[in-house]
Formats: sequence, structure tokens, C-alpha cells
Amino acid sequence: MKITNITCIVANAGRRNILFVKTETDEGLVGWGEAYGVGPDMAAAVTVDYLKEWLIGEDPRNIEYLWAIMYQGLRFPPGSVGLAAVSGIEHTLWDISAKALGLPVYRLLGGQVRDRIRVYQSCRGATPEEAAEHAVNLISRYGYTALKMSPFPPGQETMPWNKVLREGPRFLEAVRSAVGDGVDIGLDAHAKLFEPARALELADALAPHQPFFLEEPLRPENIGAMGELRRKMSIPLATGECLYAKFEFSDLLRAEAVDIIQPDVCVCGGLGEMRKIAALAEAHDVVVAPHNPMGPIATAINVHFAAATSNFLILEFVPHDTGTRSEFVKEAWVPVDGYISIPEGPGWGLEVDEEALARYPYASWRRANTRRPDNSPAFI
Amino acid sequence: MKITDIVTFHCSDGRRNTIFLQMHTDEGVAGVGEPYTIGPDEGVLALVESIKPWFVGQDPSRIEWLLRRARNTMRFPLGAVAWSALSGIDHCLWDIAGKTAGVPTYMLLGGKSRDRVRVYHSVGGTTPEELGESAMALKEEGYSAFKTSPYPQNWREMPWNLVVRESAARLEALRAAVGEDADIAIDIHTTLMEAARARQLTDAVSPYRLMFVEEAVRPENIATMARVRAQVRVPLATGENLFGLSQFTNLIESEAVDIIQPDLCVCGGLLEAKKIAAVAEANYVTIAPHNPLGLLSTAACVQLAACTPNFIILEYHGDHARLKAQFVDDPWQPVDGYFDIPVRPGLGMELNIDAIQSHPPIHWDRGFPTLADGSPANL
Repeated sequence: MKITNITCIVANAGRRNILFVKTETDEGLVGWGEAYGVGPDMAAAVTVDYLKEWLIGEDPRNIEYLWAIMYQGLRFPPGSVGLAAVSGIEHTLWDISAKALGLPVYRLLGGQVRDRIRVYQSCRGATPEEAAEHAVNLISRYGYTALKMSPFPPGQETMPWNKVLREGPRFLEAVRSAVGDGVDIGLDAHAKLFEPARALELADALAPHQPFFLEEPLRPENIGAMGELRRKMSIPLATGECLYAKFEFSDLLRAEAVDIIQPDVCVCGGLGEMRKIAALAEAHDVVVAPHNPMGPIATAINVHFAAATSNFLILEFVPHDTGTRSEFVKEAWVPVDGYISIPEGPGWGLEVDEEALARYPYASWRRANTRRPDNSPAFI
Repeated sequence: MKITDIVTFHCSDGRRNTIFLQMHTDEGVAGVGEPYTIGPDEGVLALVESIKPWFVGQDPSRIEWLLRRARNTMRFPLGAVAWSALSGIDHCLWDIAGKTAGVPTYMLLGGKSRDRVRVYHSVGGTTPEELGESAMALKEEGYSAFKTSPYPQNWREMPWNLVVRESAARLEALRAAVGEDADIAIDIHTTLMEAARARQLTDAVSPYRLMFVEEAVRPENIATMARVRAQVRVPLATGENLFGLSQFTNLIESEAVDIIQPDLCVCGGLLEAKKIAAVAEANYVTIAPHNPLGLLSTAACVQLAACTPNFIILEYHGDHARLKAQFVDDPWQPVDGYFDIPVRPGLGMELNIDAIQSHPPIHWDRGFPTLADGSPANL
């Protein structure tokens, strides 16, 4: 079997774009993947075009070999744009390999280790009451047993710090009392804090409500500070969406800087890379809760990963059964009782609707720039 | 598909014993595996019999689930006997997975990452001249890499300074015999306790440009191995005495190794070896699997080598030309020092049950070497 073409189809999902990658073969099999929407999305699409010249004519089932062709061929360590493209292409190779054998992808990863995949969604609101209402609505629709929310009140960038420390826990308290003890609540500080001591103060203020984890409590670059915070903080520390490839995860794990890693399969290097990262984590008694804010193919890949990986904890989830994105696949996977079931079809077990992608072409999107009261840029 | 039985076989290859497993399913597909002959081997056979009910009735495609469940329920950290049993079962499961899908097992582990698999052959000789001659004969068979014990005969009874000199003389003869186009390695085989002694010996043979120095000190003390590595100027290899992801991770993250040598018959099998390989890859460590046992072990190693980017070379003892070749239906033979990538589904070899059963096991042990004063030596 030979690869005949690889294309990146960028479709706008209302706000952000989703970058679908499609690989075609001379035997008619087609594989799908998803590159991360890094921001300058078209740069990743152009990189897919650049990489495909090395892959056309190759057997798509030699995944390790083709990954090395791409990664080593780029020579310079790829950052978000390069790895988003490599990841998206790599996914298509797993889809084709599994379809060629008539098996779901998790059967190429050591087989099924669990019967269903626990997922969580994020809730939010302008007031504690609104956040609580959103949480209750999400649970009643999808049955979630876990949610995630910001530990900050809205507009924290412009607030005095002591107010942030007081207001943040009020949101968590409101959601906790609305959903009860049957639901785990993770907190995502989204790498907005700079100083380790401030993150520790925040964690101490939130700890009485027994959060599931505190995500990206600091900027991701400073692994030493993350390790020090982990040793002091009483909430499990989660991080990893901003890290690339096995090497950065290895540094993080060796620094004893994390309890829960959150690689993103669309930017960490792909499914094979995420499996290697999971092996590193397993060796350190660390669990994996993949970052997954993008499209339906990304969710499918993560579900196959979770189905086969012992040290998987929980999957981030954005519903694909509402809005524009619900049109991108023939049948969107919907959680029942907060769990997604294990798919049985060959490959990802999900069919992309290419006509729907064509109806929603690329639209310019960029992340909002927030400022502090003195007009210096805040972290977003 | 459901597992219906796991049958154990125990046979003699003339020198030591070999254990094989055969896992049967209700759909007629059978998988084969080779656990390590720990010596005493009977412990492995008894353990497989004892844990068989955990596998019978289960779906063989759930490899991680089955092995994880077995390990978790044994509770205590596994030792050589249990890791050996689970490694053999791992081979059976991957063999069944490949046969069911109709592809070689490496196609279920990321596909082919190379076109052929380089091997090295072990070589010995009583004198430096004999060592050189043996290597020349193997070189003519196409081998391009060789491993030897550095030690002269009866070295345990010699003064250390003589051991070091004669070891250097042996490596000089070996290098002269095989020329500059071949790779040579030495295996100290955990015979030394002291880091400083390992360094002395390694420094003495380093001028002959070694591919690696294997098991320079005892495997239990990773800090000592790290001290040797920090001092010598040749790649250090070790790992045949380690089991499972945790032990290899400790070794690698202690900066104690350049080349890991897991044995697929005792490290936990292919699934565990892929995880070990991932940790090694993230730390710029390469893999040269330990492979002294039977041909099914070689088959499992070649499957791993085919799909693992940081593999470099495989141990091989010319088994296709030995008695043990009878135990399988297709004893692969390397060409020009390389194995081809197999194309048969699964691990790529079947057992020859008649031959296995006509060579019953013998009692064997590794002997009891002593030092000059009669105290037990490491072997």
C-alpha cells in the first residue's frame, strides 16, 4: 500500500478552526487526523503540504519510520506548528493501518484495558450562581461525574490579588454545593500565573473544596518551579498541554514536577508519541488526562488511547453533538452517564463528512489579548 | 475469541533446557511463547500452571489488560520466575494478535522502522590466537559484529594485574583478526563487584575501540554502574538481569547506561519492552536485546527490532545450526550478519512438538565457580 496524497482541510467551527488531515492511498483506504489549531492555523496547514512530499509513495503502515522521516527531516526541534502538522499526519497512518486490518486502533495498542472512557467538560459563568447553573445543566445533559472550571473569578487580570483569592473559591464553592460530592471538579489556572508563591496561595485557598486537580498553576517553561510547587501544594498538579514530544515530558517527569500529565495528541507528536509519553508517565507512577479541546477526530483518537492505556485517568471533552461541529462527522459520540463507550468499527470508527467541512471554510481566529490595569499584556 | 488452554513444554537442547508455551483459543488459532529458563526452570512451569485460570476464558486481544491484571493480583513485585512466565504469555498473546490480523506482530506495534536487523555473534577461544581464528571463521559466514569474554582461562585464580594484561592481549588479537570493518564488544557478565576494577579492565581494552562493555559490575547496585559509566570512555551496556519498566527506568534515569539489553523472555515481553524502549528513547539510550535462549526468543527480538527506532543490534548464537533449531519449523538464518524482516503472521515461527517431546529436560545448573581461596565467585 502506498500514500498517494495528504491534504489539510481547515474548517471553521464557529469560533476556532479545526484542521482535519486526510491521507489517501492507492488501495482506496483513507485515513483521518487532526492537527492542533495553534493560532496561526494556516501555518500548520502549509507544513502538512511541505511534509507530504516525503511521504507520498511510502507505505502508510510503517508509522515509526514515517514519524522519524518527518521529525528528523525537519532537523530543528519542531515547535507547535511543526508538531501539529506531524501529529495530524501521524493520526491518519494509525487510521489506515487499523482499517487495513479491519480492527479498531486500540487493538494496535495492546488491546482494550477498560470498558468505558470517563470524560469531563468545563463549566463557566459570570457569577458563582451562573457557573453553578451551567454545571447542573451539563450534568443533566451528559451525566458527567467530573467537571473543570477556572479557579479565578472573571476579569481577575484587573483585580487586586486579595480579591482574586477571595472570589475564586466562591465560584468553586457554588459549583460544589450545586453538584454535590458525587462529582469531581478540576481547576484550570491556564498558565496565567507567573510567581510560584502566588500559585501556592491560590491552591491553599481552594484546597478545602477538594479539587480533582489544579491545572497549569504556573507557566509551563519553568519545570523547576513546577516541581517545587508540587512538593508544597496539597492539590494534585496537572500540566502538559504546552509540552512537545517525549523529551519535554521526560524532563517534567524526571523533575518530579507533576501528578497528572495532560499531553495533547494533536500537538505532542501524535498517538505513537503519546503512547511513549504514557510509558514514561507509567514508570513514574503518573497518570494521563489528555488535553482535548479540539474536534471530533481528536476526541476519537483520545478515546482509542484511553481504551488501551493503563494509566489513563480522564479525558477532557467538548460536545460534538451541538453547533457547527456536529456537522463535521456522520455520527457524533455522546457521553452517557459521563462516559464514552468503546468504539467497535475499524480505524477510529468515525466518518468525516467532507461536504460539511467544505461548507465552513477557514476563518481568521486569534486568541483575545488581555491586559493588566497598567496596560501590560497578561497571560491568557 | 477466548483462550482455552496454555500448554507448557520443557525440553533439553543438549546443554541447557528450553521452555515453550502454547496458548490455544476456541477459534483454532494458537500462539507460542518462550519464557526464560531461570534455572531452576521448574518454578516457571509451576507458575504458568498456577496462573493459567486467570487467562482461560478471556479475550486474548486484551494484552495489556490480561498482563496488568495478573501482575496486580500477584501484588508483590515480581521476580525472575513470575516475569519469565508473564513474558512467555505475552509472546503467545502477540502471536495470536498477529495471526488473527494476518500480519507479522511488528505491524501491530507501529510498523516496520528498518529493512533488516543486525546481529552480533559471540566468540570464544582458550588463547588469543584461538579467539582470533574463531572470529575469522564467523566473519566468513558474514557476521560483522562480535562479543567475547575479555577474560583468559582460569582468570578467577590469577592475580588481577595478569587478568588485565591478558584481557588486553585477547582484545588486541580479536581486533587484529576481524580488522577495522567489524565491531567488537566485551561481556564482563557481572563478575566484578568494584567500580574501580571495572574501570581498570575497561580502560585496558578501550584502545581496541569497543562497541560496548556489557555488565561491567553487578546489576543490583545502579549507583555503582553509574559510577563506572561516569569514568569510562566506551559505551556501557546492561539490562539482562532487570525486569519491567520500573527497573529499567531507574537504571536509565540514574545515568547508568548507554545501551540497554532487556531480555524479551524475562523483561515482561514485547508490551513491556516497547514501554522500556520509549523511556530509553526519551533519554537517548539505545537497545541491544539479550538473546541467548531459543529461536522463538530470536523471533520475538526480531519483531521488536523491526518496529523500534532505537534498536541497534541483536545478540545471536548461530542457533539455526544447533540442535535447538529442530524445535521450530523455520529456523531463521542471518545473511551477511542481518536477519530479514519476517513476513509470516504473528511472531513468525511454529513449534515442532514432536522434536520438543523427543528431547526431555535434563538437570542443569550454571556450575559453581570459586575464587582462588574457595569462596563462591559471581558468574
